[in-house]
Amino acid sequence: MKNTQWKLRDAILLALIGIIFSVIYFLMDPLYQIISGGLTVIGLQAFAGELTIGVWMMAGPLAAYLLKKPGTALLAEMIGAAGEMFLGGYWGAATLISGMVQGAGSELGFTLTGYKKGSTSLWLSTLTGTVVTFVWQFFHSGYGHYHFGMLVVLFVVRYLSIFFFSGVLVKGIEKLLDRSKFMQTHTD
Amino acid sequence: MMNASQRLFLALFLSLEIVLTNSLSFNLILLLCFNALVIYRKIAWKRYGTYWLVAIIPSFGSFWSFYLYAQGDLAMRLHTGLVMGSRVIVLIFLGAWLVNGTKEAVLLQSLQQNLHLSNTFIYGMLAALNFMPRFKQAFQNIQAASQMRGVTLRWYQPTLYFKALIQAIQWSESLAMAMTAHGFQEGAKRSAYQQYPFKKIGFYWIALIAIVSVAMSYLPY
Repeated sequence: MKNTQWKLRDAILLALIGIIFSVIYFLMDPLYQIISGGLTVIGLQAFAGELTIGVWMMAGPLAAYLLKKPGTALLAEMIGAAGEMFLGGYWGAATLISGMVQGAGSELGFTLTGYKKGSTSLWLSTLTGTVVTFVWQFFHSGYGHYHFGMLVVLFVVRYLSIFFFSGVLVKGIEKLLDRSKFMQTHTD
Repeated sequence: MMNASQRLFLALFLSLEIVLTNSLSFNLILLLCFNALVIYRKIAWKRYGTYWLVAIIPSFGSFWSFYLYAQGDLAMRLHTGLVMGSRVIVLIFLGAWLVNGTKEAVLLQSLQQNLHLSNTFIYGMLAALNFMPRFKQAFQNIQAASQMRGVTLRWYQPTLYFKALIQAIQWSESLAMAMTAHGFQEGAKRSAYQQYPFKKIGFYWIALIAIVSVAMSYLPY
């Protein structure tokens, strides 16, 4: 990943990935509402965010895989968040900060492995993504008020969600892209 | 008063402050202010109503979750629940204020001019923004196409995203070509038709709001 030069095509692709996911994130908002409502009944609304967080973090690792440049995961998440906000996602300005945190979390995994090829960085990014976003959520949603046991369960659920959506699902998409050989013909 | 970048900075600062403050009165004052500002923007009542409607479930859910499971005695849990519940609504209206007064294109342009971001990036994004409505269509097309083969693609299947990404790669190439054809040069110096300079009075406002809001965060309860 030596190519730090941004070409117009790459910039547009990055923005498009951000936009695809901003549409997905926006469409997820009502689903989140339903899950949130269901869990409110038993007083466990906090888990709604934990269960679905992985979906909101898919743009980062995918963009990093497609563009193979430092900073891509962070930027893709931020564009996704901004798009979600402008589409009318109701978390508003907080979306932007969450996007930044989520992107930075995923990005860290790729940075720690020096942007090497292979899936180690992807799996590591699910872990760093979980830790970083959990720390943010700790302040954002006042997790400090919960008992330690509850925090552990929240963390585990968050990790499982991120592991599935931004790990397993992203890996599946990458495999399809690899198999199609589309990337080889379209990178210069 | 403030230009688009300044409004964004203020919104980011306040979001951060809201998230780090444990005060119900602070949240309520901000909620009143931003509610007034949103109404002042003369947005449609239906839209205004929607903001409240989407706020109900997460806000009440958050309150209830803390009321039942937070640490401390009943009074403390009630306070925590109220702070967390109201926090959700404040964040929603802060976002509403930002979004309803700012066009994406203007925000991108002013960020580019104020922070001297790369033109390739900003113009790439401006071009890509036009595709936002087309992606919804694209998703429907992809699903319809696979339906023809008797396969139903669901949102958790990689194939759906794979096809959307292929579409994105193709569009990005076409767009880049089109922009180059229309004379866009990477790294070239550009002049701007519309200027969005920082406004001096905007910085005074930001400073004033920052000082007042930090002072407010020490309010009792």
